[in-house]
Amino acid sequence: MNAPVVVEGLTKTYYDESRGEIRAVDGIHFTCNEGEVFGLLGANGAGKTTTLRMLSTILTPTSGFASLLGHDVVKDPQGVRKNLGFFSASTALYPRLTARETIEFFTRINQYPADLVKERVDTLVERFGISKYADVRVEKLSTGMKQKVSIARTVAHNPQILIFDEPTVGLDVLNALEVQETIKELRNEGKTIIFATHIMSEAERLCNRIAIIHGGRILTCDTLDGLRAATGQRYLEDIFVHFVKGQG
Amino acid sequence: MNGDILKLLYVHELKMLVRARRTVVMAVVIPAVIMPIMLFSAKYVHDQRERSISQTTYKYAVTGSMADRIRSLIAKAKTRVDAERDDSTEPLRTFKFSESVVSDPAAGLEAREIQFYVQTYTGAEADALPNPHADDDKDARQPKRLAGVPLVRVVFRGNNDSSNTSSRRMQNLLKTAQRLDSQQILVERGFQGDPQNLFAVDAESVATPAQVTGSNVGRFLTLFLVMLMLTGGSIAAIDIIAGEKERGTIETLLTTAAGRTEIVTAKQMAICSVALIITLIQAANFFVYVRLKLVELPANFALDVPTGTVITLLLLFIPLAATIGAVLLMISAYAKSYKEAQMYFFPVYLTSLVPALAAVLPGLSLRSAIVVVPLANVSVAVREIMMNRPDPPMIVVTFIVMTFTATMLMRASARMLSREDIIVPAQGEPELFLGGPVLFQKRVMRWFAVMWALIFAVAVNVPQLSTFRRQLMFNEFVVFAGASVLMLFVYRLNLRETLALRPVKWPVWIAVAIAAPFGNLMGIAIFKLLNFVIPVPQEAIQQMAAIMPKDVPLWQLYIYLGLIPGVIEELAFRGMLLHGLRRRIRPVLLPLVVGVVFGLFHFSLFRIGPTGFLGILLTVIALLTGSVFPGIVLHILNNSFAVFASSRDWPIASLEPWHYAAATLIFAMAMWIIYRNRTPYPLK
Amino acid sequence: MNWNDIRVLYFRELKSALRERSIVINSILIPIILYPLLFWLMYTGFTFVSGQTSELDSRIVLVNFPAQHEELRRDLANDRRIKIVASPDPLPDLHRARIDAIVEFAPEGQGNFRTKIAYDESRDQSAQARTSVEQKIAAYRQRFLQLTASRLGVSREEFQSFWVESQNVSTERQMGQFVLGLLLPIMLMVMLALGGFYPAVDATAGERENSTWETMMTVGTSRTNIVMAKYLYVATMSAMAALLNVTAMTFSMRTVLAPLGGQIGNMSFQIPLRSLPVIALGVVLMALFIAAGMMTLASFARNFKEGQSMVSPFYLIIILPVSFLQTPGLEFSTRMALIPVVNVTMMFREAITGVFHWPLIALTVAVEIVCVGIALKLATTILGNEDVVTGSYQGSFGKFFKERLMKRNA
Repeated sequence: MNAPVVVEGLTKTYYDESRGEIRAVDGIHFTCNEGEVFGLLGANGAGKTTTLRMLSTILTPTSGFASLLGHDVVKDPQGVRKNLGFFSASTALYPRLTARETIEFFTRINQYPADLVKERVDTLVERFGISKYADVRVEKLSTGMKQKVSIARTVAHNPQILIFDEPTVGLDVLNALEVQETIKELRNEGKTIIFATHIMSEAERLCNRIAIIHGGRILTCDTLDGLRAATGQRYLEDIFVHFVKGQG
Repeated sequence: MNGDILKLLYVHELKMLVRARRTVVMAVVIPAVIMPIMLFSAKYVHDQRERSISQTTYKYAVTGSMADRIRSLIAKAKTRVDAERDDSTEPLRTFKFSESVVSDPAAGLEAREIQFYVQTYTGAEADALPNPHADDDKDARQPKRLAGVPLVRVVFRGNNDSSNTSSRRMQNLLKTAQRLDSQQILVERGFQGDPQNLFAVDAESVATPAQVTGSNVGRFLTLFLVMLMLTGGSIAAIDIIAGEKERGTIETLLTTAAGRTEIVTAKQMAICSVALIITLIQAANFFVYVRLKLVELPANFALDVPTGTVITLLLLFIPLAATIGAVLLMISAYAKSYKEAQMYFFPVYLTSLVPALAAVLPGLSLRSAIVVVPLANVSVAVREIMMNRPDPPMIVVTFIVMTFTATMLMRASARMLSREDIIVPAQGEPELFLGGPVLFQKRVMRWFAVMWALIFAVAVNVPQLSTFRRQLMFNEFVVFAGASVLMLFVYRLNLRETLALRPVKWPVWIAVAIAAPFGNLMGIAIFKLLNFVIPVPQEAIQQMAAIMPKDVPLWQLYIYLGLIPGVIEELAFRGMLLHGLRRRIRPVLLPLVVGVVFGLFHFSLFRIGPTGFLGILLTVIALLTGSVFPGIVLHILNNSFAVFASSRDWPIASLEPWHYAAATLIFAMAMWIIYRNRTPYPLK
Repeated sequence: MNWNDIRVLYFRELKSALRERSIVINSILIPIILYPLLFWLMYTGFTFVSGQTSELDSRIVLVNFPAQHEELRRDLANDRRIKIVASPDPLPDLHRARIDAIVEFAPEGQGNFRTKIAYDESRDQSAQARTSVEQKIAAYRQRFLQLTASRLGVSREEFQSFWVESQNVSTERQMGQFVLGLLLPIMLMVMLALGGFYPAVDATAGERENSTWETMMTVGTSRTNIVMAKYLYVATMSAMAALLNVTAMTFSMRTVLAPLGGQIGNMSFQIPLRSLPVIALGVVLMALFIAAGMMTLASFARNFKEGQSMVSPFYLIIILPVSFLQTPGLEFSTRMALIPVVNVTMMFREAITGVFHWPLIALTVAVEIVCVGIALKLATTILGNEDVVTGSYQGSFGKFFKERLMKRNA
């Protein structure tokens, strides 16, 4: 159990008065290794977001176990969040804070050593190239600029594990590419990254290993080459269709 | 709880609020600007009215055979009053009137040519008049006109302000004239001394001006504060959660290392701060206006607030602010968007003002049941403190009750905030598309609320329903039965399941037969117990006695009060309502909720307790037997027993305590039989 | 303008409003349930308090009671709300609220006496005690005088001299209308403004927030038709909310007042039928005016919240003057008929009390029609500006004014 992220039999069910129990996530297993990008590939409503929300302790799992760096998501959510950067389309920024204030706020709130905060903020502003508009309120920034600030705040407290839930939704090609580059850089720094997407090309380009999730279950989990070998298909899109259709 | 994180979040929340220009404008600037406008206009309108009253010369006419004598008496009284310097006759001195000559005063009054007229009758004429008050001789000791005494009648139009005011003043003047006249007669016949000075009364108040001012200010202080806290706080509260949800920043915040408790606490602290700050700003505002003479203070206005009082008041205002903050936070957390939060705010606002009005009602002391009513207790306590007449033990109780309320509400709002369906964007309401039984469960409470409002508002307003029989028919058949049939139809419900039309084991019937008369006695016992806490005013007892109509034959009473309500109310409450709520409320609480709703349908404060209690028992029986039938029979028998007892004048309401205890015991035995023969209600 | 298109669009707006939970709750459910609930709460509170205080006696201490006036003492003792108590040191007891009044007698010779009542003005109960004692003494005095009179040979009739009473020629119905006339017009105005508020913001800023605004702008009908349909929809919602709220309020008010009895209880709260057309006319005019004003302001906003803060000032401008018209003495005058909003309020009041000053009504209608015309013209001019429709100016009227209108003039 040395892997930074361990997920065993994680399940989330909603109770709906009319339809009874709905299993959004149905007993999934996987582990992620240090310095790898683990791809979670699935269509809309496949259970990706629910899984990631459970990992980030926003939702409580119905059953099963998950731990990040040894912190149990149920028993020690605080410990999990301290070591986690979570980024998704629905994690917005405070419009009335400036870029620098945003980064500083998230550095502090994630309990980064107080005496190092200033230094850390300067580093991040430098690194993501936001120094030009660091003191402008977020509401005035363009989408691409906001994206950069958003990533900066995700990594503000230098977490070991990063979760990206469809980070490129709504971005143009250039901005999306920039996000992908950043993710690569972060991987090269030795971070563990979980990356959920429904865009095949992104998964192909970024992920070391890919799990295909459908109907709340993980259908397969392997490296891209492994998947190619198992299905005999060249393109991830075909591989995906192969598994999903095969599942019925 | 991590103090540093809490501080960081709290400062963050305040910063966000201050930076929202519109929020600041709406919460602080607009009220600050509006208040002087309001005060100024109120003063202007008031002055205008005063001036027009004092400047207007009211026109009137005097007619009848005694006109001349009355004219001279009026003139004499006016001269006498003008010579006095007494405060009580001040309005009479400023009163200007002139008699005008009108041929037909009644027509003149109708045409607004005169404000009122004085009709005079000689004693003989007055004796010949039909006496409109002959039949309602309520108080024989009230002074009456003696036969043969002349009559002076001031005729006015009540639906006209100036006619109202001027005629009342003329009445007072005439009464003064009458007093002077009879005193003069006495003196003429040899009365020793001045009758004016006989048994004179001087009243002197021992209250300091500060106490009087405190009493007047304290009456409205809490109401005013609650209004300010709610309006100002709501803007902040809505921005702080509903706004955050709408902007999508709540999820960002939830993935940070800050715990949910810290997040919620910081938000609550921020709202309370805003509520307190707004209160302070408005108070400061008020003092500025006083200095600028926008608000004129009464002559002996003396507000003396020692430090101890300030501290006590603050101690009470903190849980008050916390309670209001928590309520606002709950609305905000419950709503999915800014807009929705706004919608819910209005009714909550109006409803919260009602308990804050408690101190306005005269004579209410904190040393009563009011002490356990949140908000109302603060309202009364604040007034007593402002009067410099604090009641320390009761203030402690108030503080405990408020702190408890605030804690419970804060916990509820914290729980609401961590509800997952609030964080996760709503997936719509699938029930809306499905309709049918599932939608019924969501809507059943709404139906009963509308039914409640209908019964409350319609019966009195439709004159055709004013008789006992018609009103009962309307309530039972149109509202209860009608709505039930409509619900069955609209939501396509299964008749047998919904109304719990199931057979029961035979011993249950024996138990029901035993229980019937004793349930009624238990209801009376509950009423008597509650009476210790909530005394029943005399009028209410008379009203309740009037429920039993006198002109309806006895056999019909059994039908109207026994059979019809027994069948229809059971089907509505233990059928429809219980079925609708069975999955939405925990089984333990189910009887309580159904019982309380049943009690609320009896409207009168003093009937809610006993009827609610019977409602709980009936629900328990329905849950134990899985059937509505035992309840129907018990309900019919219970009501019929009451009719029977009252027809025989049985003193069932004034038995010895042990009689009631015995009744309870027998009822419990019957319940035990039912329990042993239970066929539980299907809850799933 | 194509009325057929407008009709289609109008019904779409209405339908979607009736399907929106918040609008349904706000405009329909709340009036039906909230007012009965509020009045019931107040009534319950009232009975609760009267129950609490009905047991409270006026506790009084008599000091130096003159023995020859024993009858007065009997009068006091016989009243079941007055309790004569003994206290060795009454003043501190009065301060501590253990007693409610100290009645001290001082003989003045010839059987006369003077009374000093010490009480506590700040306590309702004590003030009540004072009044009761004063009444008792006054009644005793009257009896005493009468006795003296008959001893002096004055008959009771002679002594009474004459009798004063009053007679109100207004019927209970007229009285009810008088009270309604003070309350209802203001409530109507508040509810008209409140009822138009959400639909106005929803139909403009709300659409922009949901990005349906652009969809609407691309449909195959003219922009004027769209605006017109929205406008009529807002006016409809405003009028509907006003009528529903006020009806619910009148109904529940009666339920609460009826059991109270006495002068208020006997009032009959019925609006004369012939005043309904005038009220309806006023409601329609006001709804049209309010809808035009609110929509114009709300159309600058980019989202609901902005829309709300844009419309709030307009709302206040309407409500504030109206709230001072409660003064009973005000009369509908020509000067008042010239002031928009105020004139309709006064028109409502007169109509409810059954008074119709046709020239003033005509003047009011004319003034309001001009106002609606101006507001509509303004609305179409502003909405005709492309940059407003696409949501520039950051939801600020000031900015629009500065950048657009000023520039054009320059």
